[in-house]
Amino acid sequence: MNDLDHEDWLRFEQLVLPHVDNAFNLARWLLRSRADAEDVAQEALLRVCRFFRGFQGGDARAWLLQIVGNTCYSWLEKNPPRGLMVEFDEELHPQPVATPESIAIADEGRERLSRALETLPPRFREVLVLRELEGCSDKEIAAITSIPVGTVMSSLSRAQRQLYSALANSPLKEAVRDV
Amino acid sequence: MTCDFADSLLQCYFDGELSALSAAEFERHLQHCVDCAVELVDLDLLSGRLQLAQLYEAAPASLRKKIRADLRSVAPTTAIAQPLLWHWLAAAATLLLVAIAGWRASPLLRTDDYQAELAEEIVDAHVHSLQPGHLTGISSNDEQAVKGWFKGKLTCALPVRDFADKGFALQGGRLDVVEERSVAVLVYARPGH
Ligand SMILES: [Zn+2]
Repeated sequence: MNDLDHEDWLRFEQLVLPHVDNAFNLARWLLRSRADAEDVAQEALLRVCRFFRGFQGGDARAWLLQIVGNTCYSWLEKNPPRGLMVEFDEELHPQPVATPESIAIADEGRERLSRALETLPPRFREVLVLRELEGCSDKEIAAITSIPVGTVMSSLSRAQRQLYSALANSPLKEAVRDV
Repeated sequence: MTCDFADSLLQCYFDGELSALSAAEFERHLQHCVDCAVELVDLDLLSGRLQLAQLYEAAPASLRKKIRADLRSVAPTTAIAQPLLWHWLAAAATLLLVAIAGWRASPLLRTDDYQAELAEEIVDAHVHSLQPGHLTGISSNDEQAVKGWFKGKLTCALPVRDFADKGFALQGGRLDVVEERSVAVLVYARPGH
């Protein structure tokens, strides 16, 4: 299946592998699960490797993110989300040791934000993550998501509004109590 | 949204994307539109609170490990062990040429005044480095250490592999200068040679 010669392999190592974090992060927010994101990011990386021979240079991160996005959408099609399911990840939020209260308050903002983001439709999550977490321009987002630039811009502003109303609707203390 | 302006203009106004004329017009509207005023404050709040960047989640170590393992199985370096050794060395040689092209001696060293003097030094250093037991650079059989030594000295990453099990034991690396350009050199020793 793999015809990479050594030079392709070196290029792959240099151009693609540095973006594993980016791939994982996008998958994590699209799938709302770290475990699934790990599987899908792995699959996407292998897919990129398989087709790397045809890569003529250019933005390897954008290419990888595009494939991650596509892999996520086909994964979501096969595994439709069962309602909104928010996980609490021990690895990500280690149990507070010293002063539970202060840590809970510090985590509260992040936790609320994370939950609010997860209530958005996947397309909105995707454009927000690409803009706010990856720092992509409208044009880059358009290339990665294969949607027109104009639509990217309107999606971004709608996504931001929806995120805000999701935030506004989540009572301030709820996140902490749930945890 | 109850106000048309809130839908169409407010975000642009907030982002500073309106022309001066439109902005002024919108500000007149703001004075008597509670919806827009509230929305604007919300947006302001939102931008302060929406530090989405803090949500970035780095890949777990397990993913990197899995990818490395997956890729190792398809990587040409390890796919076929013996016959590929020479192929690999050839590839490494190609890469050295890349390194030559990518890394030039510091412009400071290239001024004419020093040229003649330098040329002599370079030849000296080169001849010196060819003598047995002499190694300018790093003397180590640790791939990572040698790779680390080249880091910062070359503009591209140099793959460093030890082939001790194939009869070529990594001894270290050095930078030679050939025709004013630095050349990355990997040194291998062949037992009995
Ligand atoms: Zn209004």
